[in-house]
Amino acid sequence: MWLLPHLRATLLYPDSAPFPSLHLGNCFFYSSSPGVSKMVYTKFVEIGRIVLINYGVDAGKIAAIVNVVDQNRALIDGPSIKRQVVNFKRITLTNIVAKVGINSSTPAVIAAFEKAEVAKKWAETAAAKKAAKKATRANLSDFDRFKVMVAKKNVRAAVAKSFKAEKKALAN
Amino acid sequence: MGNLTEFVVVGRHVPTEAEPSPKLYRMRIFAPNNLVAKSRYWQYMKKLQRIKKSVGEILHVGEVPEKNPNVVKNFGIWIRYDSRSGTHNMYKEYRELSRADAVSACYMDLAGRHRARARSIQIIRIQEVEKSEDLRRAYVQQFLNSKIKFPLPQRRVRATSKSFKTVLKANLPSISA
Repeated sequence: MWLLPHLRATLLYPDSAPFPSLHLGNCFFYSSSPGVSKMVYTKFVEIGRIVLINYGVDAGKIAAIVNVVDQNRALIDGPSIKRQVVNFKRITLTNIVAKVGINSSTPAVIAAFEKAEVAKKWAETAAAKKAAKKATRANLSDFDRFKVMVAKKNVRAAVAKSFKAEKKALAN
Repeated sequence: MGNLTEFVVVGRHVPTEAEPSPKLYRMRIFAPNNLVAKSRYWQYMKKLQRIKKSVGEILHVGEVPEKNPNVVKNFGIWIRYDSRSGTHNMYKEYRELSRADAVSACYMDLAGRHRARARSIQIIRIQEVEKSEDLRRAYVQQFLNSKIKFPLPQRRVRATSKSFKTVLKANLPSISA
């Protein structure tokens, strides 16, 4: 039977409630000194956790976890997607959490998105920036690509020039 | 038997001189389509009422949609299942969005755990368990917590579409925690 990590830990080590330390392997807590538990993970599956869909038609969109169906799936909802059940394999957890109630309706989820400024926070993350950059690059026209080529050439020339100067200065 | 739909099938023995208005029998059947639903109806009618397809008629086949398919619900399912060595009754619980999904999950679960085929499984009853204290199985009870929190320990970066999936990669895929 699949059990949540902390429940599994409590069953395995009933004496060391609530969280055991010094258990290696799959355990989700560890300790550097006996009796002190420290969390290894920072992103969790929880109600209101903002996730990035990484597979299928909705790939690249973000949504909030509204309920956990089982150990493999969650019910997600958000302004840009249809409310649906997804497998955890198809989503990536982000570090953003919105205040969403369990089983919240779609309008409530959208309101929570706005209140927590999810779109703004998401745009600031490295993953979103990278995706935006990728999208810009993909939509460049032929002339734009030419301009990128010229700009890259200029950067290379400037770097080479200063590198040469530094090298010369060091040699003397 | 994945992706099942709930059907209501109504049928009866064909009217005869001896019995001009035979009794109607209504059955809730979970099946992939209405053809399979009718077939399963006769399978059970043969077993339960001694009415065969050759002497019977189907009056109505209707789909039963889920009332609220947007909320996760807990379902209790009572099953009768023929294993290789005998017949067993079982009670199992599933967390799904609809009754049909729960029954689909049940068929797949029994196929995996007991190598049971669809023909050897009978759904006796399915009931949504509304009160959390009425849930009996620990594997469902553990998800009732509204403050549920757990990490995803082993993550593997996946291609965003099946068309981008490759068996051999120039570089090893990155595995992040």
